[in-house]
This record gives sequence, C-alpha cells and structure tokens, in this order.
Amino acid sequence: MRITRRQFIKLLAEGAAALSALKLVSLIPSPSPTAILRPPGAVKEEYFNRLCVRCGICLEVCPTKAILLSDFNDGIEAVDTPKIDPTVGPCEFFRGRCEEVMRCSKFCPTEALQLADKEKVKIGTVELNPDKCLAYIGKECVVCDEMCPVPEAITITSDLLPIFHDEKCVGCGLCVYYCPAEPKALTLRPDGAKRA
Amino acid sequence: MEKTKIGKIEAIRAVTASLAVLFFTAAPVLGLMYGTTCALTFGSFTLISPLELVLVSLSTKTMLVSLIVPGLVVALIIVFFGRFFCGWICPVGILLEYSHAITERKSMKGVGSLDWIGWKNRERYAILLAVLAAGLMFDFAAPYLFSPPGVFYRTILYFTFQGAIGADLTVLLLIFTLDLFAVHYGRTWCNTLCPLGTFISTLSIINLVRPKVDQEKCIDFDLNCLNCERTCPMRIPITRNDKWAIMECNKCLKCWANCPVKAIKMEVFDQRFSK
Amino acid sequence: MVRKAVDAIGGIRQLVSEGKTVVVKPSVLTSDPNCAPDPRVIAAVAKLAKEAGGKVIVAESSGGGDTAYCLSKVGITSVAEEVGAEVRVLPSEDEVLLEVPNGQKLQSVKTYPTISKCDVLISVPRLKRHSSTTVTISLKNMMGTTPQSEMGRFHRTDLSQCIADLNTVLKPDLTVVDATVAMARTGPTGGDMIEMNTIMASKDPVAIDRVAAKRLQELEQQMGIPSFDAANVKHINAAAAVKVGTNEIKKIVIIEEDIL
Repeated sequence: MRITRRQFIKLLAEGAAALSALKLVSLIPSPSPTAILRPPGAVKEEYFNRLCVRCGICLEVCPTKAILLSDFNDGIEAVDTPKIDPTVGPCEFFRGRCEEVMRCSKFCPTEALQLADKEKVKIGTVELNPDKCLAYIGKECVVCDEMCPVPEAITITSDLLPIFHDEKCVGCGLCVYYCPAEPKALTLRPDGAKRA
Repeated sequence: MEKTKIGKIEAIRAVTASLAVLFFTAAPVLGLMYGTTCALTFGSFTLISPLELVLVSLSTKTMLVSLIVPGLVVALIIVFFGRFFCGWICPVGILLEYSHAITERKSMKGVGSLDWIGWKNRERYAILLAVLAAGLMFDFAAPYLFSPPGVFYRTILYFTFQGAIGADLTVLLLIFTLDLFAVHYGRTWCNTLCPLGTFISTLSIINLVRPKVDQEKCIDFDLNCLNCERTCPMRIPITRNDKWAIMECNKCLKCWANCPVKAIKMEVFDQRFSK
Repeated sequence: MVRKAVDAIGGIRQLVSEGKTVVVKPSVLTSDPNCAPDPRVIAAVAKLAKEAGGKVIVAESSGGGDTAYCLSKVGITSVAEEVGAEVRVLPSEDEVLLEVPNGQKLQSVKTYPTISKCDVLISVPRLKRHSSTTVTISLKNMMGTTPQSEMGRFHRTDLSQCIADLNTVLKPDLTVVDATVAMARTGPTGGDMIEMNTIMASKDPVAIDRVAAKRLQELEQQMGIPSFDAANVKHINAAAAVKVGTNEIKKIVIIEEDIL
C-alpha cells in the first residue's frame, strides 16, 4: 500500500483529531450523581469499565434477572456495563441459586466480575424510607426481616418496626425485592460496596 | 448509475445473517451459549473478539492470560476468512445494504476505484488507531460501543431477557444516520468508519475466496465497463487485482454476478502465494 | 411418629381413599432447611397417604425464593421422588381466582389449580416463631398456596385477617406440625433451633395452631427466651372468629403419647 508523506501527515492529523474528539467525549460528566450498583464480584470501578467488554453474558446467566445494562445516564464510560436493580430481581449470591457459586462471576470472560467468597462481598447498603414503610404506618409487616439472609442485619423493635444494621448488610436486595409497600419503602444504594 | 437491485445472492446473505441473529437470540435462552460477538462462551470454552481483547489489554495495561487462546482462535479465523463476517453475518452491514437499495439516488455518479486511494478508506485507520490510543492513553474504553454487531446483538438480548430497550438502540440509529448522511460509497459506515471492520481487514492476510479478474476477458479498457467496481459495496478497485485493496473483500459475490463477460473468477487461494 | 399422631385422631383413611388426589403442602419459604419441615416428616405423610390409596402431590409456592430450587435444597424433592410422590412447582401453573364469601378483608384470592382441584389438602409446617405474626404454623402455611403477589397484597391490607380469610376457603383437611426441631425466639428465618421431638396432628388448623403456639411458648419460657402469649396471637384468634376452627383450649381435646 503506497502512501505519500503528505498523506501520512494528513492521516496523523486526522488521527489526532479523532483522538481529541474521543477525549472530549470522555470528559462529558455523568448526569447521574450516584455510583453504579455492580453485580457481586465486581472489581473496583476504575478497572470495571475497562475490563468489561459489554458481552452481555452476566445478564443472560443471572437466574433472577437482577442485571440490567447501564445507559447514558450512568455516564458514557459505563454505557452497556452491567448493573443490579433489586426491584427487577434480587441477587441470590448470599442465599439462593447463586449461594454456592456466583454465576455472573463464573462466566465473565475478562474477570471484570471475579469469583469471591460470599462473606467478603457487599453489593451496597439498603436504606429505609420510614414514610413509605408499612410497619411504620401500623400494618403487620416485617417482610424485609423475614427475607433477610444475614443474621442480625435487620432486627425488630418491640413495636415490630424494622431496624437496619448497615455494617452487616450485604446488599443482596432480597428485602427490596420482596418489600410489599407500594411504592417500595426500601432502596439499595451503592454505599459501602466491597469490591474484589 | 443503476440503482442497486437486490439479487439472489443478497437474499441468501440476508438469510445467513438472519440465522446468526436467530442463533444469538435462541442459544442463551436454551443455555447452549451465552454472549454476543464481543465475547461468547459455551461454558467449557470462550471466544473473544480480538479487537475487544486488544482494547482491554491497552486500557488496563495488563494481559489476560486466559483470553490469549480465545482471542487467537478468532484472529486466526479472521486471517483465513477476512471480511466474510461483514458480508454474510453482520446484521448491521446487511441492513445498511438494504437501506442503500431504498435510498440510493440515480444522481450518484459511478465512483469506485479512483476514490479508493482518496481519503475515505484510509481515514478509517486514523479512527481505529485513535480508538486504541484512547484506551491506552486515557483509559477510555467507550469505543466498545461502536462495534456494530455487538450493539445489535445486545439490543436483542436486552429485549429478550429484560423486555427493555437500552442505550444500544440509540447507538444503532446513530450508525444508520451517519451512514445515510454520508456520501454514498457503497457500505459507507463499513468502508469509512467501522473500527471493527478496519481491524478485520488489516488481519485478513490469507483471505480465502476473493475475485480475480481475467485481464484478457475484461472489457473495461475498451468499453469503460467497471460494473464490478460500481456494484462492489466495499469499493475495491477490482480490475487492478491489487493485493492490498483485496483485503477489504467481504465475499458478497456481487462483482462475480454482475460482470457482463464473466471475466471474474472467485479464486480460493491467492495464486501468488503458491509460487 | 407421624403415623401414630395421625392414627390418634382417627387415622388417614378417614380422609384419604382410593384414587383421591392428596396435596402435601410443606412450609418452604426459602432455601434454608431450618424454615422447612424435616424431609422425613414429608416422606412419612406422603407414604401414609399413598398407603390409603391416594395420589400424592407435594406442592408449594415459595414466598422468598425460586420454588424449584428451594424444594430441592431443603431435601424435599428427593424424598418425594423416593416415596413416589409428584412434586409440583405451583408458580409454573396458571393462576385461578377463588371467591372468599366469608372474608372480612378478602373478597377473592388467587391460587393454583393443583390446590383448588385436589381432594385432600394436608398442611405440613415446621413450628416456628414469626417476626410479625408471632408464630407461623398451619394457618400461615396456607399462604404458600397462593402466588407471591398475594403475599404483598395481604401485608398491605391486614395480614392477620387475610390469613384468617384465606383459610375459610383453603382450609387444610389435615395438619401435621413438625415440631421435631422448632424455631424459637424469632422467625421464620434466623431463630434458635431447639429440639422438641414432637409431631402434632389435627383436622382443625386453628386448634393445632393454638396448641402448638402454647407448646412453643412453654419451651421458650423454659429456656429463658423472651416469649409471647399464645392466647393473643392475632391471626389464630381471627381465624377462630371466622369459624375456621376453634381456639378455645377448653374445647380442644389433646391426645398425647410419649414414644421413645
């Protein structure tokens, strides 16, 4: 393939222009201020977006369909990477179909999600909104405590109100998924996540 | 220039692309295979797109040892079959050809070979290198987004598994829009922008099944035919039998089908190698 | 032990005869075996029903997990297969709507054809405490014959009354309570597993809940665990009020036998 010096310099200039365009795009800030809830076994966020090849395997193998794909709101760096939504499906890594092996991490080809001891994994921390909680408005409900797989992560007061112990929460989202309040009284936040 | 008509071979290629879509849609549901053209797994073994592997390695500055073989296997397939994927399987490319058939206007001048040396086909190297450099220099991996088959298959799997439409549809529409507004030079996106396509053509060294023009039968010189080059979606200067240009060949067989004097033969191996 | 308990209240043949469809409903909320009855108890009940000529189906709709996985993990799928009972994962069936004519808070309830069409319904729960309803025994076990969506509806409405209303239309013909090991202090997950070595049987789910609750209360008091008042369990009393059964201790005949 013959190429003159002039054409070569032109190519270099165009390459530099394309590179600058990409750099500008990378600087666009993410519209959403919060970090992303990642599947269990996720590596630190700075590596995650680079290791993840957006193959969709984790989404396909998840037995509860808890994994969604990030969109432009989550930042252009993260588009199409996996994120957990416990209102769609709870993550059964601590108790349930993935308690013995985390399927998403088992099949991830690039180890953006790594197999880990479930005692060492924390997806995030759950947060209660008492204004929406059925127990706080006098109904008989502590489904969150019934479903919670971690001993003493949720305790009940003598008035039958749930109390959440953030340091014990593993962020599986079972309580969020099963919370019968409409709208739900619980949200899962990425705070306190422990990454591989 | 004649409006490109959809011929029999195009129809067959649409069928093979549809079968691939069907496979990628049904296999994960049945548990036979998971993933897309970015990376896929059969449980026991994995395959990964070598471009994705290079991007990962550059942006993380590490080499994932377990992926060397999967990446090399696919790279080897590309070395032998070249842009066959682009011609017979990539759903976006096939759809682009069909959209061209609808939107191409008679006013488009017959172009082809002379323009190949021009800016459109070389600029893609600048784009590909910029994408790789972005990964290396500032860890920006978002160009994963612009692998069209990955985008397409992800759109499908997201719909199959979550019933949702995500960012991928926007990217697909962007690709189609870019292609429509660009000047028509065959498969414009594939020829001028697609980083994956550029990567594949660079690797297609052995490139089985490519057109060879019998210079004695060819009437271009006398009658200024150039039918092959006019119909070639990759805008290859076919009559020149140029070994670099021929790396773009996606084996669509249009040149072979449209030559009025049947001067084109699809040869399997490059005769020059066998000397 | 199961056979003796059932015989003491009249024997299985009072309920099951040749060709009858018998559903055995264990309490499998999650994949935690402590929540579920001991698989051997399920096996015993199933065998008993089979001997009487019944076609036995073990059915469940787990409220806190994937039913098929939970049934398998707690060991019930394998024992059911061993004794020749069919296992049915209720959520895989189409839902049916049942009217609740005597319901205070429920006008209708969703369930599954396996439950609505069976001849004999046997409830086999483990004796457990519960963080909101105080105890979960036979009456609450019936929630597992409904889809998960109904669980949400009950909690939003009035849980105890809904349990009572549910049992007016889906009342178990026989209850066998697995109190071999009971869950005390709290439940239905995370409580203390304490040996009680008891099996209870009754055709009246309110009565058995009342008596079993009392036994659990006594056990907790013995072990020094902060306990409850078995006479004041809301859903048991509500069920008595809508005539599902009786909760008056004076009227309940308790036949006890020590087997060693």
